[in-house]
Order: sequence, then structure tokens, then C-alpha cells
Amino acid sequence: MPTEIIYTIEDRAGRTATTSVKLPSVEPKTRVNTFNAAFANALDDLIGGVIRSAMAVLQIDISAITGNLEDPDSDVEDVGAFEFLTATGNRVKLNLPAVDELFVDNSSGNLDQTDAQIAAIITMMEDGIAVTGGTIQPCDIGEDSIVGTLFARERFRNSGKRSIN
Amino acid sequence: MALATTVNFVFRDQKGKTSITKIRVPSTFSFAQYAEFAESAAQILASASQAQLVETSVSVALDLTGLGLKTTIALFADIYQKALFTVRTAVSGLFSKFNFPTLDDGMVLPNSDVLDTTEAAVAAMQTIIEDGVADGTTISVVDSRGNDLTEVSQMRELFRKS
Repeated sequence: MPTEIIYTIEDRAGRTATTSVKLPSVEPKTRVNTFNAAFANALDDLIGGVIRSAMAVLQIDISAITGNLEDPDSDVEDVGAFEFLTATGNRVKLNLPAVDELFVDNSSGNLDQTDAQIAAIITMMEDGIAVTGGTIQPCDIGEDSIVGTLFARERFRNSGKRSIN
Repeated sequence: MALATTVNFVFRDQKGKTSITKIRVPSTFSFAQYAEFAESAAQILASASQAQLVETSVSVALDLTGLGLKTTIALFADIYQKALFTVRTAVSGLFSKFNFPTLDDGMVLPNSDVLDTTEAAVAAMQTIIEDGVADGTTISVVDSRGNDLTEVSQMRELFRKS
């Protein structure tokens, strides 16, 4: 799947619209930035609105993931609600759709943090994931690193979007 | 303040409903590193969910500062007024389209809806779409299947809802 750069443009009435351009998925970040500089300038000269943002969207190949099947009881409104704390005290939420009921303590509604799958999520969020050349540590929108977990519990919320029927 | 990169995970349940969850990560890593992270995180999340993970993507904010883009919106700017570029791909019979909102009226030929190719901005956009951008080797523009875009066949003004 190509990498897509999505531009958001604002008009005189304050309304926004998007347009996009696609590049080969093999292009690295530095070259996408080079392309963006040229394309954003060409677009800017063509239009009367102002470009408010540019976002590169990479599609990730997940075909190698194991155990990735729909369970007959799955419901995305049955959520595993995680809340984490950043180094400066900001709260960060992670909502896992269709959390497996096996992880839920029915007396409290808390997720069992000693269970391997739940523990793996918490470890990922607190300690990051090792990648080639470093570790990527989850953070909040201002890039403040997550350092701890406040809670992990089951929650029901009307969050699903029906895609068929 | 840097804006964090977002890793997006879309799950679908047995009823066909979908729901998205996101993890934010620092903006300083390479695309290849983000791909590694996203694939590992996808496995961890999928293992704890009864739904199927159907899509994973990474959204990286690109920096527009320092590019000299205008900051004042023109009086005529309207997102419904667009420039339509129809483009041939390297695969015969396959086309791609671009809609650029808030087209500048000055780019349109008088008494016509055709864009004026003698306007530098129109010609520059056509060149980028057809020839890409040089950076050592060329960075090509492609369609959703990854086919190279080869020739702009139509450029005109269009009014359409956004």
C-alpha cells in the first residue's frame, strides 16, 4: 500500500477539506519530507485557502499476526479501558475493543494484570517496544513518555461503527 | 512542541462493527522503526482482543513551517471550488484523480472551466504529478495500487461538496 500524504485546507468560512497524494511505500521519511516541501508549495500556489496540516499515513502489513480471528462472542463495545500516567502527570487512555472476558475479574470489573496478554499491553505502554536502533516508548500527544499505569478495567461504551447491513 | 506520531489499530467484531484504538509515540523515529513498532504492538493488542484486527496504520505529522506557505486565506477561498486533475497511470486504462479544494479563480481560462496551463502554479502541479520530485533519484507519485502516474489528461474547475 502506498504512503499517503493528506493535506487539510481551510477556506474563508473556516471550513476544512482534505486532499491527498500517494507515494511508493518504500520512500523513507527524509524523502517524503522532501516531496512534501515541493508538493505543499505547488498546492499553496494553486489554491486560495491555507494548508493547515500535512499528515503522512503508512499502512502496516499485519498479515503475519497470529491468532487474529473474530470470536463469535466478540463485541467492540466491550472495552478494555487502560489509563496510564506520563512523566509530568498527564493521563493517557488506551481502549482495547472486544477485550476477552477471560481477563475480567467479575467481582471488581478490573482486568487481571497478572494475565500474560494484559501484562504485555502494560509492559508495552510503560517500557516501549525495542526496534532496530532503539526503543519506541508510547507517550501523550505532547511526547511526554508514559511511566505508569493507573488502572485497567472492563468498560462498555457505544463506540462501534457498523460497517455492514 | 512536537506533535506525536499516532499508531492506529482498527478492530472488527462478529457483528461487523468496527472500532479504532490509538497509541501515540515520539515523532523522531524512521518509517521503518514505526513499522516495526506497529507490527509488534498489533500482535500484543490482537492477542488480548476477541475482535479481528483488520487495519493498522501510522500517521506522521509533516512539518510545514519554513516552507514559505501563505498564512492569509484569500477572500474567494471556498472548499467547494476545486481543481480536478485526471491522470493516466502506467497501466493502460487506469486513471487517478486529484481534487484540490479552494482553487484560485485566476487559474481558470476565461469563459471556460479549463485550467490555464500557462499559469506557473498549474504547470508546476502538472509537472510534479507526472514527473515526481527529484531527490537524487525521483520520488514518483502513484495511485492507490502503486502504479506510477504518467500523464495528466484533464485539468478543470469543479464545484463539489467536500
